[in-house]
Parts: sequence; C-alpha cells; structure tokens
Amino acid sequence: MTDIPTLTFDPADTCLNVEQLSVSYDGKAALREVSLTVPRHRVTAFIGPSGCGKSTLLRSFNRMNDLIRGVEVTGHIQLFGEDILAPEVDVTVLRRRIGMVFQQPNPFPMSVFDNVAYGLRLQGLSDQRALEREVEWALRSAALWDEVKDRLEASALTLSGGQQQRLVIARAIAIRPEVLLLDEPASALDPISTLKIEELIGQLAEAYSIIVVTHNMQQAARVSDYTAFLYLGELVEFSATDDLFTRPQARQTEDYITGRYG
Amino acid sequence: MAHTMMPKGGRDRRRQGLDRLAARLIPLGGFGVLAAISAIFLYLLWATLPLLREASQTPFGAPGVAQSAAPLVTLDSRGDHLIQLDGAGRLTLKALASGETVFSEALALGGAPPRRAWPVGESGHLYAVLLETGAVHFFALEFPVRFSDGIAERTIRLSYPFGRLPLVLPGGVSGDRLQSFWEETQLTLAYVSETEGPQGTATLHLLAFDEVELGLPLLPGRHYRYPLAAAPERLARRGQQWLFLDYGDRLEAWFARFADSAEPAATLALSPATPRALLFGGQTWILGDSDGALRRTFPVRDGAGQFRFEDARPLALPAAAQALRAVPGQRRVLVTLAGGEHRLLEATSGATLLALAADGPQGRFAFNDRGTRVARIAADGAVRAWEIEARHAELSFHRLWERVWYEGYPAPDFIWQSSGSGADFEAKFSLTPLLFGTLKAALVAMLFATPLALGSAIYTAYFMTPGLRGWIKPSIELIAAMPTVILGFLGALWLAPLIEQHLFGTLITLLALPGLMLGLGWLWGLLPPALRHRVPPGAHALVLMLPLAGALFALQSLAPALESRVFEQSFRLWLDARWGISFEQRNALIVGLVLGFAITPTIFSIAEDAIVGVPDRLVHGALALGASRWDALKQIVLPAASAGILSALMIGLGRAVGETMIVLMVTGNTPYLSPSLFEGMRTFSANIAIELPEAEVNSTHYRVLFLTALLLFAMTFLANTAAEVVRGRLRKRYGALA
Repeated sequence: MTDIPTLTFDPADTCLNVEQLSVSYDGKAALREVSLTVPRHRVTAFIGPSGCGKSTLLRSFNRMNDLIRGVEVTGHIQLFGEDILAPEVDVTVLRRRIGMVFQQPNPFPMSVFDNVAYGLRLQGLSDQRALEREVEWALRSAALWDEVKDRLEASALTLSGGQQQRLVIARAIAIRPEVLLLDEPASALDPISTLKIEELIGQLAEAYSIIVVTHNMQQAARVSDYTAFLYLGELVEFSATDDLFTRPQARQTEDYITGRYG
Repeated sequence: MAHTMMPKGGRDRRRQGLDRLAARLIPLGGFGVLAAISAIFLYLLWATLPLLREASQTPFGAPGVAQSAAPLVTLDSRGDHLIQLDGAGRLTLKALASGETVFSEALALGGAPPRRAWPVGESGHLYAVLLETGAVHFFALEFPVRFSDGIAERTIRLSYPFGRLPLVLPGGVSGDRLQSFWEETQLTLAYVSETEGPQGTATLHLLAFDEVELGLPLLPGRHYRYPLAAAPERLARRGQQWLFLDYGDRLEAWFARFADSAEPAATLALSPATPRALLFGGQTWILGDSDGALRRTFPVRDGAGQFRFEDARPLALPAAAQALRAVPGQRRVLVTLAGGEHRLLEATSGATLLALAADGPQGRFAFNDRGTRVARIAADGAVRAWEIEARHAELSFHRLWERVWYEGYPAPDFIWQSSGSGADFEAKFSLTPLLFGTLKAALVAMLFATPLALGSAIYTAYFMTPGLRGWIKPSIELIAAMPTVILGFLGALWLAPLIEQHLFGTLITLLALPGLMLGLGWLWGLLPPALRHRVPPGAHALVLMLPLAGALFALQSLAPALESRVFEQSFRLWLDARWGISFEQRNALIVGLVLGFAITPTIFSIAEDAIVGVPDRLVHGALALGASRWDALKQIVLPAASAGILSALMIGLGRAVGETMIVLMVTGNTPYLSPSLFEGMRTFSANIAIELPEAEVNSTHYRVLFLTALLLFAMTFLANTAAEVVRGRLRKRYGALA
C-alpha cells in the first residue's frame, strides 16, 4: 500500500495534519499508523466499510475518543500546526474550535433558541441581543431560519428529524469553529432531508473546513472535494474525490466503490 | 392454498390464543388494581363517614303519665323502664315501649315518707332515698334474665343491699343538702347540717364507707367535719377530684378526698340567677349566660400550684338558657331556652342531639345512662320518650384540628389521648399533633436522605466506572430489602443511646460532613495531574473515602474536648439551660437518620435509573460544544432526568409518610406538637398500629383512627398525583427522551 500516493497540501492550506496515528480500544487496534492531511476550507470525506476506523479517526480530532474507557492513542495530530493530543491541551477549548455533528440528531431538550445559544452561553455570552443575533446567523447559515423563526421558543424536540439535524449543525457552527466534523450526518434521515443537509454542506464549505464520515459513496461523491478510503484501520487511499471514484489506485478501493464489499 | 397466504400450524394457533388471552388478562389486571385501590378508599370512607352523621331523635314508646313532682323519676340503665318513686314511698316501673305498669311495690321505708331519691353512682342499680326524717335509705333494682322454656325474659328484682334499716346521719341533714358518690368499693356521703357554733352556722360532713359491697351491711364509716360560715344551697360531686359547694352567688371547689385544710381550693363568683349544671366527669360546670352563651368553666391549676376557675370556649345558643340539667353518663347538658324550648346538647362539641318544642320550664327529664333514651315528664305529668342516635356527636372540626381547652388542663392545647382509666375519661382526639408528627418525621428523613441519595445517584450514574457501579448499585438496593423492623430495632436500641451519649459529636459530624466532602474534592483538584491520572476515572470515591474516614474519626476524637471547652458542661445541659430545649432519647434526629437511611436506597435507585437513562448522545452533544462533564450534568443531564428524579423523591416521601415500623420504634410515640429536632413525635401510621388493635369496633376512637388512615391515604395520593402532574409536564418538555 505504500506505493499508493496520498495527497499533501501546502501548510497554509492544511487544516489538520495526522501523523502515524494509531488508536486501540482495550488493546484492539482500531486505527493503524494513519497519516494524512486535511485541507482547509474544503470538504473531505472519509469512506469505508463498517469498522474501518473512519469514525475513530474523526473522533480523534476533537478527542471524543477520550471518553471511551481503555482507549490508547499514539501518533500526532496538528490543528493548524498545534499538537492537539498533548496532555496539557484543554479539551473543552479544543472542542470549541472543532465542532461535531453526530449521526443521530441530538438536540437538547430545550427550546430551539436555547439549543443554538447553548455553546455561546458556555463561552460566557449572556447579552440577549448578541445571543439573538448569533442564533439568527447560525440558523440562517444552517438554512433553518425560515422554518423555525416563528417557533424559537418551542421545544427542539418538536422539529422533524431533518430539521433537528440542521438545528444541531446550527448549534455547532454558532460558536464559529474552525473545523466541522460530520459523523454520518444524514444516515438517519429521509432522502429529502438528506438532500438539504448535502446542500448545506456545500454552502458551509465556503467558511469551514469540513470532514464528513459517510457510508454512502454517492453522498461522498456529491459533497466532498477530497475522499479518503479506510479499510481495516488503515488508510488505503486519499485523493481528490473525482479521482478516487473514477480512477481508484488501490485494488481495495476499486472493490469497495464498485460494491464488491461493504 | 388460494384462500390463505399463510397456513396456520398448531404453534401459530397457540400463539394467537396466548395473545388473545394476554390481551384480556392485562386490562383485567389493570382494572383489578384500580378496583382494589378504590375498594380500599371506599372502605376507609365507609368506616369514617358515620363520624359526620348528624344526631337524630325518634319518638319512642307509648305516651304515659307520671308524677312530675315525685321524689324520683328516672330511667333504668338500658332505658326500658320509667322508674318512679311517689311521695308515699311506692315504687312503680312502667315499660316505656308499652306504657304498661310492670312493677309496683311500696318500699320498706319504715313509714317515713321519702323527700328525694336518686341513683347512686353514674351507672348501676343502687338508689338512695332521703327520708323526711333526715335518714338515708338504699334500695337496688336489678333486671336478671330468666329462661323459661328457652325464652329469655327480663325480670325485675327489688332488694335492700345494706339491710332494711335506714342510715341515720350524724348531725342531721339540713334540707336536702346531701350528695352521694360511689366509686369502686367506697361510698361517700357529703351533707350539710346547720349548727350554731363559734366557727359558723353550718357544718360540712363527709361520711365515707369503705369496702362497700351490695348485700353486706355497711361497715361503720369514717366521719369528717368542716365548719362552714354559711350553709350552701346545694352540694355537687360527680368525679373523684372535686366536691362543689353551691352557695347561689358563688361556687366553691373543695378537694373531695378529705383534705386536711377546711378551705375551698377555688371559688367562682356568680349571679344567683345563673342556671348551672355540673357535667359528667365532675369537673366542668355549664353556666348559662344572659346573652345566650353557655360557659364551660372548670378549676385549673396555675403555674404557682393554685387552683382557679377557667373558661373554655363557650357554646353558642339561640337564646339565653333558662334552666340547665345535668345528664348521667355523658358529657351532655339539657338546656331549657328562654322560650321554653328544650335542647339536649353535646357539651364538648355543642351539637344539638334533641330539640323539643316548648312545654314550659317545669317538669323533668329522665335519661338512661348510655345516653340513648330520654323521657320528658311535663309539668302535667305527660310522659313522652325519644330514642337518640348520637354516637359520635362529641367530635367536631374544632376538636379534631384546633386547640381545645380540656377540663383540668392549664391551657388550650392540641391533645391526642384516646383512652384513660376511669369511666368518666374524656377522649381527646386532636389530629394536629399526629399530622405534624407525620410531616415532621417525613421531612426530617427527606432532609437526610435527599442529598445522600441524589448525590450518590449522580455520582454512580454519571461519574463512576461501570465496574464499580456494577456492584455499588445492587449493594445499595439491597439495603431497601432490609426489613424495616431491623432498622427500627437498631435505631432504637443502638443508635439512640449512642447519639444520646455523643450528641455534640454527632451534630458537628452531620454539619461538617458536606463541607469535608467538598473540601476533599477541592484538595484532590490541587494534586499534580500525574498523580491524579493514576486513579482510574470514576474510582476517586474509593480513594477519597480513606481521608474522609480519617477526618471524621479525628472530629469524633476532638468533639468531647471541644464540647467541654465551648459549653463548659455537656452540650445537652447547655441546650436546656441556654435555650430551654429538652432532649429525648427517641427524637427527630434519630428518626431522620434511620428513616432517612431506609428511604435512601429507594430514592437512589430510581434517581440513578433516571440519570443513566439520559441518552449519551445528549452528553456527547454538549461535550462536543466544549462543555465540561460538570456543565453537561447541570445543564443537560439533570434537567432531562428531572422527571425521574422527582418520581424518586415523591416515592421516597411516600415511603417516609407511610413507614410504620421505624417510626413506631424510634419516635418515642409522643403525640406532642414539637418542632424540636431533639424531641420525638407520633405519626399517623404508628398511631394506627398502636391503637387500632385496642379500639372498640365502631366506637368514635375506632372511626377516628380510620379517619387518620383515610388522611394518610389522601396525603400520599395527593402527593403522588401532584408529582405525576409535574412529571407529565417535565416529560412533555423533555419530550420522548429515554
């Protein structure tokens, strides 16, 4: 596999730089010596069959893996040149810089407004007018404003699944992170909601570095600029999305995208 | 196979049958539970409702004729016969039901005409006759049952239990100033003779006969004499304690038990026209006020040990009382109103048991001693009788809930005292101290249990390592399975004496514990991270347990020295001397600890489940936004689990309110209303457990106990309903979580 070239980017255009990252859970390797660079202000997709380590890789970026017992991480990850795996890194600060959206929509059991304002309030913003301005901006950015502007005080749980997922995206971008991690953001949604999320990803890429983990190769092909294919905890291939889907270099990539397994 | 897609095998059919059976059984079970709860409620209500029944009067028997001025007109104890002794000494019994004369015999009075006759003792068949000669004669009427041909028949037997010779009273009786009191084996006659002497114009005699037994002659009596300045108009005694001398313009209360001093213990000035009657029990005088109120006044001992007459809450009347008559065997009084109307009142509650149209103030009334039948003998001799149903007439809202000034007590108070020794005991049913005790026990227990249970639930569910949680949780839940009688036993016999000895140490430990825990947590945070990270996350509790135990031990060792330095003597003495706070060994502190300990596992278990039930994705969502674990707990987990936590608290409260064994054993069961942490209480549940086995079925006491059971039921029902409403709102707010 060493003969498969991976992409590298100019340091100015690099958002995350992963070097020799290995992650294991209770001694079971989930990622093996993965190295890649994630470009700035682009959409990068991680694809691969279940259990290939793509979610583990994603969760390493905001250190959500720390919550899992028995996890062991070696290697380096740099966010714009800063090591984020160092023990002295304050994860709460890191997570404000790297937002995350989960597979299942997980709005908090509070109003639409309070959901979006949650991260802002955590950062100490309490001025009501500033909050209103930021919440509106985030909801507009997540293409949800027109649907919820009249029911900001309603419980977020009354929204539809697709709306909830866009609300969660709004909540994540409200604190203006530098990177947005999307962990299979549309897998629990119907096709129309999925389409809306995909459109949204395209719009957000103008301002954010986005990493999408997806099962759905068409989705990866539609939304991403670059795609990494992982298999059995190893990075098999990482190239521009068009290249990866039209001219896969590795045999496993070809098998996967042509549906021979997965 | 065209007609069906899926052929049915025997297995499918069986499954369908089971499905249908379950579909029927499950609603049946649900309705069964509802029906059982409703049935319990209805049964309690059914046993309680008679307390609210109004008194009723029913005319009884045939109209008859009697001499309204005869020396004796009364009813026998059952109320079957009208007993009359006429001026010639002939005793006649008429059956009230038929009006027929069933017995008529001239009493052997030695030829002397009777002046007045009366029943001796509040119940029984002994009668005394004061003869015109001033001598006293006794006769007894008994109603033995005779069986003839298998049919029980009541017969009437007249006897002279002390012999046929009259008792001549030393000194002679002035007028009819004679009064008798019979209790157990002692018969006391009090009378006044008029004398001319240096010390006054009259003498009060007390003639006491001991070891009196019907059928045996009276032994020679002990005779006491007290000179009086003037002769009282009447003597009155109906209880052990007091002999009242009624002078018309004043009442004097004398100790009835042969006091050495010839002095009245208390005196009450009255207008001579005031109608008056001494109530059953022999303490309370009912006095008619000109403005239509009935005063209830009785001698009370004040702080200096002196007696004086005090008034309890008066009873309201529609008009001024013209005459008052005492009623045997019951705390009732017959009032003749200014218009001539008669009313039989329950003197404790003021309830009207009988109302009779005006037929003039003259004439008399006769009662049986159970208070169930009344006969009115009008001035013209016409007799009418009524049956009264007024079993629970002495109860009222005032009696159950407000301060009541009971006779003999120094001040109005909330008193629960359901039984006493004498027949003239007045039951006191104040529910206020019991309600207060119930709430006090429950709240103190909640005060101990809530922080403990919720704190441990939060820690176990949210911070603890799964491995540790796996055995901590079942261990705590195991405590709930411990029989409460064991907890009560330990609390009463081990903890209570221990805390009594180390009160100060216990108190400072309880106060210092939360601070110590927070302080240790803070110190932990100051440790170098390298050291901290060597403890697996969530196992901190175990590590911190050691220094906590050490600190508590040090505190306990220092406490005695600190106590003697700060308070000079013991803390308990200081409490008493400085604040007047008395200490009982069985007190609210113990109840809080033991009952709190008993309800902690319940609260813990339900609250822990609620917190564990909050989906991880919510916590992860908050953490991904840069929240700390603590932020996520406060802002996301606890609100989302609030419905379950509330359930946990309400179920804990319900257990605390209804818990019986522990409170029975560690509260001391003193039905006093005391907010002090160092005094005990009696709760509804313990009260029912103590008293229901002893209460006479269908008595007022029995029904009041059922009322407390109903209240207990209503309290837990209301609390749970309120909690369910709040929980419903919380659930709505936090949506379809978990």
